[in-house]
Amino acid sequence: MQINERFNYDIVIMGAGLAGLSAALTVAEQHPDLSVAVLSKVHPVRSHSGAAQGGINAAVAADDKWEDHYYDTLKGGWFLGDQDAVRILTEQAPQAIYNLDRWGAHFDRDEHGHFAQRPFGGQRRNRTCYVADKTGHALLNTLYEQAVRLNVDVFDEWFVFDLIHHGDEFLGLLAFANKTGTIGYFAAKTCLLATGGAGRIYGQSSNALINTGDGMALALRAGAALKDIEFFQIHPTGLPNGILITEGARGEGGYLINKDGERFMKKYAPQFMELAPRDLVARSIQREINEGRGFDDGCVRLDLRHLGAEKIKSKLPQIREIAMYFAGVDPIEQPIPVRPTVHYTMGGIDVDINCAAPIKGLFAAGETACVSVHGANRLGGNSLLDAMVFGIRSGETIPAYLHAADGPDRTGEEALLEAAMDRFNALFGDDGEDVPTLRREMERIMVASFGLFRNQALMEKGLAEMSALHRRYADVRVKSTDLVFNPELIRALELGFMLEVAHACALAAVDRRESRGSHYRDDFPTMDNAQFLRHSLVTRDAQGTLTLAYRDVTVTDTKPLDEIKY
Amino acid sequence: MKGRFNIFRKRAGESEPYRQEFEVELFPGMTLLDVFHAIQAEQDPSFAYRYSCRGAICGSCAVRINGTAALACKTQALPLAEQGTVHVDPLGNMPTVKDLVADLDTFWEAYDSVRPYLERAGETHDEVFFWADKLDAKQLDQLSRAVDCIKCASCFSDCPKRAEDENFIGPQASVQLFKFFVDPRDDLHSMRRDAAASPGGVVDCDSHANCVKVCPKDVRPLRAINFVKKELSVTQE
Ligand SMILES: Cc1cc2nc3c(=O)[nH]c(=O)nc-3n(C[C@H](O)[C@H](O)[C@H](O)COP(=O)(O)OP(=O)(O)OC[C@H]3O[C@@H](n4cnc5c(N)ncnc54)[C@H](O)[C@@H]3O)c2cc1C
Ligand code: SF4
Ligand code: FES
Repeated sequence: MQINERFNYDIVIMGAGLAGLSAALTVAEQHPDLSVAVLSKVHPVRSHSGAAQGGINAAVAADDKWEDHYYDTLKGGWFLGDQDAVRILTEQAPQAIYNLDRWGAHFDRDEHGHFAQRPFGGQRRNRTCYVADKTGHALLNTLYEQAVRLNVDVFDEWFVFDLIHHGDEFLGLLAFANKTGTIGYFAAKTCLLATGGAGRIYGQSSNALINTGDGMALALRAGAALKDIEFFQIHPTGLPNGILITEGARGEGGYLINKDGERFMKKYAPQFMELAPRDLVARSIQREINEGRGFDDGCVRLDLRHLGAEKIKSKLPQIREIAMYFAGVDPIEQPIPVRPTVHYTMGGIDVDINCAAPIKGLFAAGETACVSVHGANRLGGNSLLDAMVFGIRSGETIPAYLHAADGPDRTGEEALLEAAMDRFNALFGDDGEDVPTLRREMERIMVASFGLFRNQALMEKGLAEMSALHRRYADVRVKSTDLVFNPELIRALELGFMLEVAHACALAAVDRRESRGSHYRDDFPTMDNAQFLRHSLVTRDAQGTLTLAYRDVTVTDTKPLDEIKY
Repeated sequence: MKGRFNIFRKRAGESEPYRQEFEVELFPGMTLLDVFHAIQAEQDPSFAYRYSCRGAICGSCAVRINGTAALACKTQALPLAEQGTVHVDPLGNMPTVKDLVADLDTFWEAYDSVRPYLERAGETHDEVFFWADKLDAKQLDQLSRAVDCIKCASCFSDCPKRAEDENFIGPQASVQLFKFFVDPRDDLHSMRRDAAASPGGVVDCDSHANCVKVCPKDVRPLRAINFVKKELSVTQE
């Protein structure tokens, strides 16, 4: 197979969720002279951003201050977030909301016509703007509508499979069109990776099936680092099949109950109860289950019945629907079975506060990036915000970069493309490792060794297993050579991406000998600022060997606490 | 139990579609999308279908199940298979690319044709906004339903009017038009009125109401269509 079509752009954006689309809109509005292409492996409105229910945080209320949002975010992230980055996130948050409103989003309003705000975990006041319980869906569709208005070049159902770079200079992306099977080379001066999270490396996950860390793996292979990739937020409440029951349900007053009928959060977080930060709630639920106080199905219960039919129907219609269709339970009549489910990738591509990676012309924003704002644990409602604020910001910093820099030196580009196509073609063949088998093995290792409770022995075993599994991937072969909607090929490529991320996670996790946020070790149960107030950075050499390094957290004005209590 | 699934197959490029039966071991809680995954992983790795969220919010996985459009991820497989062989086809009113993957180009063309976005001259947001002052309760309710639309194309697939008239924009695009037709912030009101009243526009709907039945998000496209029709007729008189 060979390249059939070539394109040239100033900016190519990989990903059409909130981050990718808000970047594209910002460039289209402010720099209509720049050419932009947006590539997405699914139609933009099918992106995972659409699954977000609860809302998006911003200090928009007259009596709220971004400084409070800033502090809540730092504390929620166990002070692993860089303070300059968190400042940008929280200070720019209202502007992101105003942009969305201007673009047509239907935010709920209070009786005075101001943005309505609901409470979300880990924050000292109501700060979460929302569109009923379909916030992500509504915002994603609004952004796509505006992309149509501004005539953005969207290549939907194009799957990016390789990133071409010359040393530390970005050159372009290789992708195929699912509908036609065309292979396209998108030569561009700059690239924004906005490919979302990698939650699918775990078997039990709330993430869409397409959240396979593609952009992270491409950046890692190109020489960028994955930062803090050992931190995966595990959401306390997923249905038995992983589908999320949002924090909104607890925000509206839902109770968590064990099999003895006890509201067990009173033992773990008496002040905040069910609204304590997610990692704490998740571990509390897991502990109840591990210690035999779960129900027979291995879950605890989320009880909404006391809210009454009317409130459930008006405030939480989507949650009710999800429980009915995916667990066969109507929360008006029965409590919902829930257990922890992997939810959010705090770590990601190492970028600076301008979204720039160390590779010239390469940028990243949204869940795939780690600026870092979420630190060791993301607050609910801060990730749609991250995608919006840094999506918009990259839409400003990339044009600034283009203004200052010359285009890349393209000598040697053809040879690089040839090598990339050889790699791609080598994936096809008759006998090889089976993708579903390897994938199940990866999911098993991640859940068993890198889940809610981690320790040295478990993780060392997991790391060894993951290295071995990663080596086996070299023998994966795809039988069908037809590129039109070829699920075998797509799943094979995605597995390759996921293994890079999973392997990096394993390496960084073993070495972090402390407990911080989502990274909880029973052998090192406390946080250790003296040694680990640092970002982990995993890089990969051309042979595939991973290396771990550290960088100090940026502290500007707020002294990190040595202990996090709520 | 083992379920039987009779599935429409078509290879890309090759013209002749055919049908194939698969037997799949079913567990309680398994959805039809899980059945597709099982077929792809264990029986035919080349079996093609769309998916993303597996939670009925992205609109990828609509297919025809026993002749009617629905989301595979929102359909429990066990109760269905207990009633006999399950027939699965790609969405209708559109060509098929491969297996269960419909070619949605005409669906998105209809969407694009209604200028599916808010157009407002003022560049600022609304610091204070009173929806309730400008829209009545029924309109507000229908607007919220329009926001719910996940663009799954089930309504487009099963619309009898679209089947006989390719110019008709179909239920989803009508809902999309309605969304901004009633939006007090929008500046394209008169253009939207003209579009709704022109051939192939909202007024051409024959009220079969299939869209209301098949919609997985209870958007009720016909209701949105009737709102628009009513407002057009009121101001014409
Ligand atoms: C169930 C659920 C509920 C949530 N609720 C909330 C909430 O209430 N509040 C909140 O703040 N956050 C929430 N989150 C998190 C939030 O939704 C995400 O962090 C955010 O939407 C990520 O946006 P993004 O733009 O970075 O990525 P995504 O929306 O995931 O978009 C990724 C894009 O990359 C594209 N892509 C990926 N790989 C490729 C490839 N190989 N080739 C081409 N394109 C590719 C995809 O097609 C897609 O367009 C929730 C998450 C989940 C799982
Ligand atoms: S109106 Fe309903 S059936 Fe039609 S596209 Fe929207 S969600 Fe699907
Ligand atoms: S997979 Fe998203 S709606 Fe079914």
